[in-house]
Amino acid sequence: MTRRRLLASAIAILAVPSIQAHGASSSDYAIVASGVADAPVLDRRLAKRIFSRQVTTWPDGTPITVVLPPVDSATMAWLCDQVLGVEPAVFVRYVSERAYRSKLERPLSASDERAVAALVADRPGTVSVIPVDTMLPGLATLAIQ
Amino acid sequence: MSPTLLAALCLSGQALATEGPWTTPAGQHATYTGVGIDHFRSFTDGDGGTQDAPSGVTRFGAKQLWAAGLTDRFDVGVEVPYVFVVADDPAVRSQSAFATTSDFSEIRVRLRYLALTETWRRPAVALRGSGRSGFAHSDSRHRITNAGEGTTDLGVGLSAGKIGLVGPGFLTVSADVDFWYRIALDRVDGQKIPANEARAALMVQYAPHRRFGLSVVADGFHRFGGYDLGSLSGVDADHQWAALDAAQLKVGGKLMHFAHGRIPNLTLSAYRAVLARNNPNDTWLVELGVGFAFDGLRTRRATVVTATEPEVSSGSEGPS
Repeated sequence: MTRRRLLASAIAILAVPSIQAHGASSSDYAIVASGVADAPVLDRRLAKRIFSRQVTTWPDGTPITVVLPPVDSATMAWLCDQVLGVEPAVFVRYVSERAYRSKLERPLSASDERAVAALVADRPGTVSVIPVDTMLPGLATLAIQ
Repeated sequence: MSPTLLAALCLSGQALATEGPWTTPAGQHATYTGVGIDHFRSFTDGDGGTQDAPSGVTRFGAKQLWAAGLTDRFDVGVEVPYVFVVADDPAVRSQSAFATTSDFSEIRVRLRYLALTETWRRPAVALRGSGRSGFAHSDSRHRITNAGEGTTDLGVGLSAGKIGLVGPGFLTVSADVDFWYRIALDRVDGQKIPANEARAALMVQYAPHRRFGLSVVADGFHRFGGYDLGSLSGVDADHQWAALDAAQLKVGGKLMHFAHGRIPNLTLSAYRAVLARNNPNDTWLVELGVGFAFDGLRTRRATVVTATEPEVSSGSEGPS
């Protein structure tokens, strides 16, 4: 069984937050991952640690690769508002500071949200946020509890 | 008490910034240039009494720091400070003890190894080996207006630090502890001059904005033995400052402007002595610094999220 199939069977989709972000409903966006056998059920704190690179491996030991939405996108605004609780610009500064200090790979990025989805689908162990209308086969949704 | 025993030292000078455990990435360089001014007049002696010197002493300083990443976990740093020290009262400047001094202060070299990288449960931890020397100002070390004590010291240190998102911004906390073995200038009654000493520093920085951060810093040293001010009989006048059983704690803050575009990191620091023993108790200092990090950054930037963000990414401060 491939990791991707394992992931698909392991992911639980839970209730989504009801808070509105930047005019978009939370149900318009999804945290997605690929190729992880034992992806955790996310609470907001764990999601924040993953995207802020404080938690860097999945429960099965697979390294987490974070792909961030384009800096000025509504998806990034949703991530920062609903998960991280900081302004996007502050988060970008944090990412730079942390990468410089911790020697961790910086999160990847792509030119638009469809490219983000493709990047996640192509790399096992990767996590990101995408608009639900850019969902691709093989991606699993990680809902926030 | 001899006026020449009043005040003095400025042991840690303007090199107050905490360094933290975060080594310069492999192949990269970081520089920090700082200019500052510090002043003292009053001091606390070994009994806790307070006295004023015949004149205040003002020190204008400039320092250049450079660090280079040998590997991602191993870096080297060099600090070269230069100071101009002058008595506030022109009438005392003709006295040898208050003669104006213009010289290099303590030149420092250190190697640092990042032993543990940070996880969300654990801080990053680095080990540090350092050497510092005041050979350049040795001839004027007897003055109150000295540029340092003219000693050569060897140090080992430990640093720990953590960075994380907290509230609407990100928090950086670091602590540094060093032990300095000070090579003897002399021995009096079996006591090494100077005694060894420890230094500790703590920095808490919060950045609620992508361009600005604010730090609170405490930085102090404690010498393990020596003489009290006024009790230096038998000690060579050249060694009178190094012979003191000295300690001092400074607290202060920094306003950081993070690099973006072509604008480098800018730092405005201000500190004030809050505790002292055989040392100035009213020292204040202000320093303005500019830091650059270069090489390698451009290569990394092309593949990361900040590719769409022109500003970048360097340490929030130079190797200090």
